[in-house]
Amino acid sequence: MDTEPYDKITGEQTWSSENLTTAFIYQLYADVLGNDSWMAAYASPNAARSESCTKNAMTGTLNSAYWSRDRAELMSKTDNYGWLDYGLLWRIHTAMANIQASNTFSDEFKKRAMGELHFLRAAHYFMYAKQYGGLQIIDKILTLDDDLQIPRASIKDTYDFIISDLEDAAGTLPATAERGRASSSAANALLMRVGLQAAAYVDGGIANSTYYDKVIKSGQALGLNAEGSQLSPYADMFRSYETAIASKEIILGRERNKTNSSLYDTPMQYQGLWSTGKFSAYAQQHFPISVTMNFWGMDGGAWPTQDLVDDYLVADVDGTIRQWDKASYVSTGKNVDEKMYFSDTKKRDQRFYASILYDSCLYFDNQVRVFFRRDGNVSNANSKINEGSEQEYGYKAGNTENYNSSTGYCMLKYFYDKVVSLPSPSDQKLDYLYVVLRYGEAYLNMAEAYLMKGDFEAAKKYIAPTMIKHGGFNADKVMAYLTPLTGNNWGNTLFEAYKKERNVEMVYEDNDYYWSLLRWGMRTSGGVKDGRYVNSGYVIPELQGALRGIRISRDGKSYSFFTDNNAVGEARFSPKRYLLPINETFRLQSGVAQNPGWE
Amino acid sequence: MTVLKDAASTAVYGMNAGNGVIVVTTKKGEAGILIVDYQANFAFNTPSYAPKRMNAYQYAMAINNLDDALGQGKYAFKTAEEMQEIAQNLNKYTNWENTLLRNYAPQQEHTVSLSGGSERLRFFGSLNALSQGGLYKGNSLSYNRYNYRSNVSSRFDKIGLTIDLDVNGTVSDEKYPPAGAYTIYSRLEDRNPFEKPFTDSGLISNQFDNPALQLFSPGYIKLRTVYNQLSGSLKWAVPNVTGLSFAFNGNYNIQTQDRVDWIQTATYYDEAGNATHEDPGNISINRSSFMTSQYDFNIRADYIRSFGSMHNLEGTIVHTRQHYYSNSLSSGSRGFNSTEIHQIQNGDASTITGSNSEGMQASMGYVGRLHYDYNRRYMVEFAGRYDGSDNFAPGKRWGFFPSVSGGWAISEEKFFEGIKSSKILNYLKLRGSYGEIGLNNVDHSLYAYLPTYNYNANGYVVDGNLVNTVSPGPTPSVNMTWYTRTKYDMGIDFFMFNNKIEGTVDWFFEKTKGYLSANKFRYTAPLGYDLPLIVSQAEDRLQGLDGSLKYSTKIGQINLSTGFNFTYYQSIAFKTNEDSLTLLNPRIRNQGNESHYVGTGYIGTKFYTTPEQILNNPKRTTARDLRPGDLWYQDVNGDGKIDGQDQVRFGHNSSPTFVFGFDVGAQLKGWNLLANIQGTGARETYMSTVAMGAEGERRLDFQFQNDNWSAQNTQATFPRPGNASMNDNNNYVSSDFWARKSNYVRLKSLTLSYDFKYETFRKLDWLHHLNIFVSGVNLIAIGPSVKYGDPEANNFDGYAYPMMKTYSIGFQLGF
Repeated sequence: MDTEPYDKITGEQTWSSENLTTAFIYQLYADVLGNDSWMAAYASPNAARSESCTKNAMTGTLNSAYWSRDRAELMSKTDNYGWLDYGLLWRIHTAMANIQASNTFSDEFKKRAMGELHFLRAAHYFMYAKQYGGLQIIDKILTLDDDLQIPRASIKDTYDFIISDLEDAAGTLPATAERGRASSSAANALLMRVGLQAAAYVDGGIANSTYYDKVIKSGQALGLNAEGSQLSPYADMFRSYETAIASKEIILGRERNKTNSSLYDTPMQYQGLWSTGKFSAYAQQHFPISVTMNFWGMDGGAWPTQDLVDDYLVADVDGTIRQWDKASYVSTGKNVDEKMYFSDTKKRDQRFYASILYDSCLYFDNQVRVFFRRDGNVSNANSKINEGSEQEYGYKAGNTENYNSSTGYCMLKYFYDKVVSLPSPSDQKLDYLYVVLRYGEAYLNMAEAYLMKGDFEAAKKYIAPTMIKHGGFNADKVMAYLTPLTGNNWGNTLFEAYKKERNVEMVYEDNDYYWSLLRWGMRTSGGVKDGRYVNSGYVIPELQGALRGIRISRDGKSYSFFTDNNAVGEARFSPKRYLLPINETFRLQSGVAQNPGWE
Repeated sequence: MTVLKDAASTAVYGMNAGNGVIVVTTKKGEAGILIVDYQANFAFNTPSYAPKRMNAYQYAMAINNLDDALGQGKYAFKTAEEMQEIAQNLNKYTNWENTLLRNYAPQQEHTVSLSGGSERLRFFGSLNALSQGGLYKGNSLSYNRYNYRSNVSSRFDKIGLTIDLDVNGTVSDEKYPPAGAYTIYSRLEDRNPFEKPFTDSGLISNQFDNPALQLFSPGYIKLRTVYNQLSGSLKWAVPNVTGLSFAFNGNYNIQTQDRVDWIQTATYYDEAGNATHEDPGNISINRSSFMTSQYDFNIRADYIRSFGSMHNLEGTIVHTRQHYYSNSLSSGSRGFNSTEIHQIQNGDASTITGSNSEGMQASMGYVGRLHYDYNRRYMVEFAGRYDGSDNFAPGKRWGFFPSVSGGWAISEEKFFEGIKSSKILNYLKLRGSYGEIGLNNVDHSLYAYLPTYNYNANGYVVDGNLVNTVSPGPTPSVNMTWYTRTKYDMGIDFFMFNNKIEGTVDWFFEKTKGYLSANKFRYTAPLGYDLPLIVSQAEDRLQGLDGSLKYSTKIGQINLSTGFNFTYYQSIAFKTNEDSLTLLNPRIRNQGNESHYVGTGYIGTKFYTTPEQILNNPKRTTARDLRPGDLWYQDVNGDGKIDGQDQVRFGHNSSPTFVFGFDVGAQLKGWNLLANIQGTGARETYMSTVAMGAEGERRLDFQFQNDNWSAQNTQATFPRPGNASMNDNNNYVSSDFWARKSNYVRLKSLTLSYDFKYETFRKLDWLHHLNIFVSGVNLIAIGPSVKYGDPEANNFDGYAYPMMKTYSIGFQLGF
């Protein structure tokens, strides 16, 4: 009966081998970075981490279950937005204890491993700190002798715990690391992100908040400069694996390997367009499609709204940077493309072309020209784009599946070019890279720290690099655009310009705009003290109202905008949203306190 | 075939006998005559109770109603004119089942056997072939099985030795399309009548999730499984020592499988005839194999002796051992520019992957048994097992499980003679038993008693390369060991009315105590690891009755025999190991309650029928836009709102606690009719969200889903049209509304046969026997859930390969 397992090792073996200990840490990377990756949260109806909880995007079809309930503030304490993964923390602390106790590991190995563990613990904590505020602080292996009804720490103590981990990691991690592992730059970049959130929630974003100083210090450690020398071409990072891994800008990424990854492991699975439906004779003649594109792209797609599209600026005839509807093309352009999209000359911010698929674009490895317009070959028959077709044709024209965009746009960022139509997306194997941390965001975090401190000149210095290097605008014109701007409150010109820049830079990454809006709104609310907002909770205007789409005439000459919502309804926001509800079942077991407004 | 249920009689079968034992004895030859037998059986299988699909008009109506409910207007899917056109041209639209499935799948089976021998040597040999087709058009599904058996038995009377040597083996060949039944059936059900599997010119269409892509693909999955068993026994009745014998029984079997998955999807076309070929990069092959080998043997000594004419004594000592080994190997590649050669190395070399697994398991036991009876009138028996399992840590591996039973044949007493002679009660025996059985249920492969870490393949990507990762295994459970099921049984056996009625009734009571688990009542989640498994205090109890009655008689020339059997039991979670939260809400606690509930959720569900009811009554706290036809749940705790605290355990799950069977056999001259009817008591099946239609358009498939509530249809079986997006999913959350009664009575089998030897060919000496028969399986079922599908189906979404009804005809010929 003395059988033995063939496929197991022991803890002793693990903690006496640097290789196995590293492998233990790799599993932690996989879990921390994979846990709430963009994808995991994306298809969840409770996705506070998905783009469509802002007005940037409409998720899914008009009547499917895959909308973000968060946008309409339908969350309640029966929802479960997750909590600290105790198992993960136990593993981190087990590794810390064993590594520190080892007398065989080299000092260099110990230093790096401990740095990585601190980084991972901070990354995990921050995921939940930005949702809930104060968390239970667990910093060691717990035993049955400990009190396991652990109360939540204050927001300040929680953020200080995270920042102290990151400062530790920034000091001990190597300057560069293999792809997929954290470097000191990764710790600094994450610290900048955490610091801004902390400044707003803990200090109400006052100019002398020490958190802003920490953000700036980390920015300096990253070597941020007026030239934006670390920035890579924007499309390279998001439109193909080969260019993404070569992009110097990416500080930390999470990769998937084609050996065990398919379309289903990427957000691309939701973003396909469909070419089936009932198309009018006009559509068949003018917008033919000769390939099949109806094998993926389902209810989970996040269709960009006109609100998002408006944030991409344009270089006017003289190079002046303007909002597209303030530029001269609106009156001189002969058709929608010449007024708004500039397919041939690419006058909009270059990030527009890397992020958003619009009417008359080439798509699907350049095989097809897609038209979202009325009667278009990928227009949604049920959306307002095709309103009136029933009266005209006696049937609903367009993609009747209801799977195509209801706004007139489709997401392109994170959608790799080289895909083929497949009946079974699980057979489309591919390498993929999710950006976790990159310099573009670091520049904007630096800019925000200065902006909030009231140092507008320094703020402009760090807003400019992404506009120039990613947006493709002329450096002098960017300066000319920024120079007259001023102010760091809602409605102030510099703050509004910064918001736009942040939105177009970060869209579809980390749900950045949502957390940024909360951060800025919390600053106005004065932070949280003793479970209450210091000022009355600020109602964020960007998180209210209907979503906007575009309806282009079938000849492509004119357009109009419409507002629409899917089953979830209009965006709504009330101040209790600054901190999400804690799942009641969990709360009853753990005894932690509920956030204000959700009792 | 013999069924053993009480603990005492299963003792010698040991730890895997917790739920009773079925003993199957295979055929042996008979000495003297040589018989050649040939049996043939031809059958057709057809889905037993396929629910009715909606036709195009019904579907369009359903979607219009759904869209309307979601606020998109009355004719959002099809206009009134289109609806009219659809009604007139129903045949124009697709019936997916008719287009891609056959109504009947053929099956045939042939068996040839040879038996005979002398007093010294007896033999039996047979060959069997079974061939089964599938329901898929395109013949992409088939199953063929070949079996041989040879049983040889020889006796050496002088030295008291009997030797049996049996070998048997099976080869089965299975072929499937390159997708499982779930994939194919779910895609089939999710298509609608307006979609087409083929283009107008008959090519495979580019329809999304078109099941024709798999059914008519050049890809395939083929499995060949080979099983060989060698078993032998040796029995030595020690000469000159009356009643003493020693025996050895051994069994060794090996099963191997070779599997090929060639994944290549069919080329498909749009209406204009443009083809999309499978990208060579995605054509893949995977070959996998496994081998399991198993041996078990026992050595026993028996002593059977009668003293005087009245005292009978039997004693047995057995030692048993089991050992199991398995390994598997899997390898594959992708990227086939040429599809001529289906070999791994012909794919893209950089994509070749391989993996294997290996495992072993062992157990041992010692059994002792002592039986005494006085003239078969008073019987008593003691037995005990000492079992060892490698599931547990050394020191915790062994457990002792005793049992005792007794019987009293009252009818053999003198005072009973009077009753016996009245011919009402011919025989009566009382029995009773008590016994313990050891259970060791724990996932063996975890080696939960060892402190292990898992070394996970390809867990993370560093510098673009997959790397292995390490994670802790389960918390070592060094103290877990056997736990016990204690069984009590009391029964009577009787014969009545001149042995025309033969019956038996048993009352049984079982306690299963000590399920391996960590204690849950203290909240320990923040530790981050599970506490070790221990023998917990949790206890389940079960008691019930089962019985059977046989009645044989002759009515005119008809020999009639009927039988009835039933089992009824109750089971409760007597003591539970529940977490702190469950303990807070007494309504969801298991302790002290029937174990057979359907689920936990809202109860007392009915329809809202007026807006006033919605306004004036407690509502689900999250529900929005409620209307008549939505579900109205009961405010169980009366706090004026409906939330998690109102959830209660409800219903009786699909495992019936009352089952019965009824057999009828009638014989008239050469004719023989056999029928078997089965039925259940209370039983409920919870509709899956797919069957509810909660996921909207793609899940509306069946006519029964159209029985929506409306002011005109208040007795509906479904709420008003809608999906989970409507009113924040008020209607599809867990509630007793979706637990549908699924008790049934079914004619399980019916066979009519004719024996030609009875009269027609009685005089043909060379003919040993000739029978022909027709039979049916699952012919008729009655019950409230038959409209949703076969009553024994797990849910009603139609996503599985269907349950079958079988019609067969065949003959048996021997000479």
